[in-house]
Amino acid sequence: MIRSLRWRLQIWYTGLMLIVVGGFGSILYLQTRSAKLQEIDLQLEAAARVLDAKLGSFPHFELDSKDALPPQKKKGFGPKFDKKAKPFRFDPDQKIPPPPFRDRERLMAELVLPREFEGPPDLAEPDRLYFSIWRGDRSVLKATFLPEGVEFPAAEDSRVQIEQRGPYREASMRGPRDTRIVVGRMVAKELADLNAFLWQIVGVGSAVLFVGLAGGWVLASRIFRPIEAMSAAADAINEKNLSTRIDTTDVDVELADLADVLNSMFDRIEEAFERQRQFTADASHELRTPLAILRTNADLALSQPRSPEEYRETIETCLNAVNRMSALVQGLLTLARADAGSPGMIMRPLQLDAIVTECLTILRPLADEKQIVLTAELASATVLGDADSLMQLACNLVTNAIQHNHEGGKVHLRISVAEGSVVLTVNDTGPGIPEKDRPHIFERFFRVDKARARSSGGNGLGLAICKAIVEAHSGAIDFDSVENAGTTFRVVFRAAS
Amino acid sequence: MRVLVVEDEAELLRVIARALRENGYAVDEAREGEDGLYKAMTWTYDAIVLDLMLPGLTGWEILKRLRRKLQTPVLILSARDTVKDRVEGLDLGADDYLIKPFALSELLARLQALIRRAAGKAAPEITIGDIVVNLRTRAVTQDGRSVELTAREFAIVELLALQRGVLVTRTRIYEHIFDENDDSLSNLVEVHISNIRKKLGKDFITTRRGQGYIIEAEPESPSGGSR
Repeated sequence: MIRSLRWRLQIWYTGLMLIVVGGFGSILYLQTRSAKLQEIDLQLEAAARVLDAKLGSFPHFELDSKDALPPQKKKGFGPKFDKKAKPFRFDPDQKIPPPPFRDRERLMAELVLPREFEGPPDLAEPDRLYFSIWRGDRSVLKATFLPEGVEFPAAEDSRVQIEQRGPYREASMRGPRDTRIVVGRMVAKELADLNAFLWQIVGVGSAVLFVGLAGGWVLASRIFRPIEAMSAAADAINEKNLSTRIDTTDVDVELADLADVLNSMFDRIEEAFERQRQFTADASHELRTPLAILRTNADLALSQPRSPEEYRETIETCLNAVNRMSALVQGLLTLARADAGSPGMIMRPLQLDAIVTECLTILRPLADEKQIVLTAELASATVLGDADSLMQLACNLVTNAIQHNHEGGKVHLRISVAEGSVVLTVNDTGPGIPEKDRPHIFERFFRVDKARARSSGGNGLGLAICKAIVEAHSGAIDFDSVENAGTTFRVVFRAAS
Repeated sequence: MRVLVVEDEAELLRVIARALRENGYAVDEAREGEDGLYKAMTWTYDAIVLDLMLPGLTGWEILKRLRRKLQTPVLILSARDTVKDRVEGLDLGADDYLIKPFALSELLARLQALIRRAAGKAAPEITIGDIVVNLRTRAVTQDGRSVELTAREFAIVELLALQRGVLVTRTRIYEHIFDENDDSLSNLVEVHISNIRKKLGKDFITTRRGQGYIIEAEPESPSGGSR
């Protein structure tokens, strides 16, 4: 099986063209040949009929045998009425010249074909006919211009039979009184002409076939050119160069759809790569920064003798950097596990309100520090989930609400149960999320206020982790935000029965 | 030498600034892009240490705008380590690129080299007569004997040595040895010059009255040195 579409098309073309050209050529040749031969046959048959008709006027004895004599003229009305009459007997002494001889000469002279047809077989004048007539006893009555090898034919009746014998074509028939007539002519020229004609057809047919195939090849190339261009464009797209696209301006409608589909796929791939690249760059930056703090502090502390206070300060700074890195590594691990399908999570029925209460206990000191009022309105709700993950989710949301808040602001938590789903909302009275940042809020390492978030220790992973946790629990997370009036995050879980 | 450090990470900024000060630099700090660009355009720095990922104006943007007007040597200090980032930074006119985390000694050496190259002195030692100023070890020797200079005195010697043969105004010296947090009086420069002369000889630094100070260029014959 040939895998190349172009070659398969070409083979189909070739087959079809061969059938059409070959069929047409064959029919043309056979028709011409049979018309030509039929014309010759008609001529031969007509000549045979003429001879046959002429033989019809011959006396029977002339036709029966070479030596047959004409019957004696009878007196009276035949043997029935003339029983005494002597039977006829040829008597040379009687000196009666046999009248038939003169008749015979005349008859023989008349036994000819029209003049223009008579002549020796000749390539230059192909319509010359020869003929031969045999008597019933196989003796030749008359033969003109006979070529070699003409034999007594086996014709059984008066139907004309045509036979090809080498370069000669002959019509044979049975004439009156068991005579045989053969009329023939040389057809070598006609056969040569037909042969030449056949080669002409083959030549023209081959030319047509070749032109057709070449045309087909060119056509196939034209059809496949955009496909090849698309393939080349797709081939050029790799990790290093994702921005190449298939040019759809000159592409036919049928292929434009395919090109569009491919282009949009390339867009998605590029976006995914870009996200991945950005994530790696961000992660690298976030990890390198605390490392740089650690190293520079250590380098500086060791560069000359320091006082215990200075060492203490350096170690505190290093500890902060280490804590920051730990949190970052923990966050990255959580996300990596979530990407891998959260293999570490143990799903069991849990009281979500209990988890949230515990989280509030942990975070109350932080809220007090920023003079933020934490309130909660928690309905009893059971969800199927992983305790540590849900704890992290609640803590991340509440920490966010505390940190992105005004001094003296409020954070309100609510759990409600409705129609088989559990809804956790965390509402703050902070500055809200700017319109332009809203689509990116769940992206990894995205920070609304880059400078402030750094100083408050946020690493930009909190909400991304929340989203990953919620998705691992088949839940949904979204938010409403009003600028300068606060933000409400809403997490919806399926209630566990 | 006066340098500007633009770095948004407070703790890193603090430790870099401190390390530079301990090595005799006057250090200005900027935590945000706009602030960094403003300072870079306002004061004369011998070098700028620039982070790339900054809130507000990014490091690339600062570099682009700075290069329209000034040729101050810039060392990029970034966590972005891809070849593309480095090439982009250097293409925008940075003179060096150092990736976080880095060895403090490397940062100091590169900064030093950057400042020397900008002054057209590739070697770390500058010889003026019998006085050798080693910029790397921050030591001065006269006739092979080491001469103790304070950090500020060395900074002035360093500046004048790097600019040898060029008149340096008192303001320029002042801007050089004091950072934005100092509010010392400018006649302190004269005090320092006077102290340097006591240690290295009267003729080491020439005063151009009303204009500034200069270490005279090397005379044509190598035998005679300025004393």
